[in-house]
Amino acid sequence: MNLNVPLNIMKSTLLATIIFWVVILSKNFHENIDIALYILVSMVPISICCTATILFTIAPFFWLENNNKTKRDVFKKWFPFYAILSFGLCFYGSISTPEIICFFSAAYFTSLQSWVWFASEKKLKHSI
Amino acid sequence: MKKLSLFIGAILFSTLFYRQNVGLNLTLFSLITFLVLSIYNPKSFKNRRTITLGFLYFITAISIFFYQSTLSIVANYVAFFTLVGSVSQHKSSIYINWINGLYTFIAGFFHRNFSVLENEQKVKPKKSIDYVQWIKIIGIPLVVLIIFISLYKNGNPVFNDLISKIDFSFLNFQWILFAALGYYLLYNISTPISIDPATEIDLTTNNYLNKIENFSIENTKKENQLGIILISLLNVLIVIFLITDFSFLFSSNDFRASIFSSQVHDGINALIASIIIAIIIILYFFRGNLNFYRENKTLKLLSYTWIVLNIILVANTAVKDYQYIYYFGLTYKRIGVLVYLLLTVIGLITTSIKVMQIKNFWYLLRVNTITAFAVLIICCTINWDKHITSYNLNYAKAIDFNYLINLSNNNTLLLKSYSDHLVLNSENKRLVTNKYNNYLNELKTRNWQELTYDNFKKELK
Repeated sequence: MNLNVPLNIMKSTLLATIIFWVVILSKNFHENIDIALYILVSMVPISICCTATILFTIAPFFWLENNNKTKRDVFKKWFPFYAILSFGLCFYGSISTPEIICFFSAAYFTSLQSWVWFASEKKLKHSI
Repeated sequence: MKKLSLFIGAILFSTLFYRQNVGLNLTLFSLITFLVLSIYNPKSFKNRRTITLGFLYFITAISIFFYQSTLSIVANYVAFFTLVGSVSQHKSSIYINWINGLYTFIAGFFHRNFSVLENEQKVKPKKSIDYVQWIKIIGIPLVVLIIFISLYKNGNPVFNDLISKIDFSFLNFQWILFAALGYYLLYNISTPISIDPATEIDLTTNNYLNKIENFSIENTKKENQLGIILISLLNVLIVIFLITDFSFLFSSNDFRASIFSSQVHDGINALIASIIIAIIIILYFFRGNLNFYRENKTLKLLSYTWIVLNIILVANTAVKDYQYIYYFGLTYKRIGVLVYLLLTVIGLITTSIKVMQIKNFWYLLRVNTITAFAVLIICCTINWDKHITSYNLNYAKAIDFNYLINLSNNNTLLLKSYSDHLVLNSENKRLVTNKYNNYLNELKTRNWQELTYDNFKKELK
């Protein structure tokens, strides 16, 4: 199955960065206005995390599935279980180490959105 | 009206849970989720099963208000997932309801977001709210704006002064983020989703085994012989075990807690293993053709005997547990053993029904998960800590007072009353007074979201 992995990684990195920093900034927004550099620098490790997650945990579902199945089929078959597992791990992480809840919330929401982007890629091409 | 209910729900979610402990808030949130579900899915609430599950959900919510126990919180979550799953598909089994309920609660937004995109591909564009687009047009400019403000600040002192004067301290962004989370969760459950392959398979799978037309009589006969020999030997073994166990039970005069403890807990471990293996063996032999084999009566009889002997084994362990409780009082572990034994007996009875009425494995799974759910709901309505304390103080031959002190605050009033009316040694009296005073302080410092039934008791005011 053909997937536009680079585009998905870029979008995921952006989304993960937004969620990550929104959660951090929400604690004391008025005191953290000059952290632009950190936001930019943080995009490097975030993109690495996104790349690893997409390449090793999401894309294989589409690559390994039978060719006569559509992306929609793959999504409907595997996404629910991926979502439940991902929620379980991120929820456990958030409970056991609440200091890095920003990481787990970004990881959870971004990974699910990556699935949606992969599954609806065809539509995106048409709309462009 | 529908969207408004979600917004109000989100604001209430943040008001109820932001930096609060569990109490009245979870009870009220259960009410909110029930309202959202019923506003969005009025048809589902005409179904008797969904109404019953809604009622059970309420019971767990009320038990949280009364006892604030971990068990009632767990029961509340399980009842919630069952209700949401039942709204998504009321005919499916309870374990499928749990999966559907959990999935809807955590990822309903993404599933529906994908469905919207999918529909857009097939038919003309639909006028639904594109949440991703909203996140983009708010989130991206916000982050970029922050970056640029930060850069300009360093380049111009006047601009820096101007920015420094902007005070956002009146806004609580965490509270807003919490409300957004509430909106996400309520939006998720507003239209419950069913996981397709799993729900579909469950709906098309009935409780009965189907006869295969041309099965090999020879192979079935061999399997029947193997089953008869194996289950006969296991019957003999369990009878010998029961005789030796009963003789030990009636002859032993050693009432040390350690002896009872090892007896009950080792017995339980053996029981868990033996009953699981027993059910697997019976399921294996009665998985297909053997059910329809004419000469299977002996095997069936042996299986029923084995089930009855296993039930006697359960009763034997229950007697040991009862003796343990009689001499050394109630504890959660000892109650847990009794609950486990009850579930085991039900499991064994349903296994015999499965053999008798030629039912399949899914029947066992369905009936036993419903039983486990019912036991959980019943258990959450009981104030265990109070009952444990009351029993141990009034009937147990020996009391572990530290155990009672370490239980939750549900027994504090009882301990205080016991301490006031009966003679206790000074150390225990001090422990009770400490617990009571700490509890009073806790009650006084609670916010309205964290209130429980004890806050309204006159003797604590």
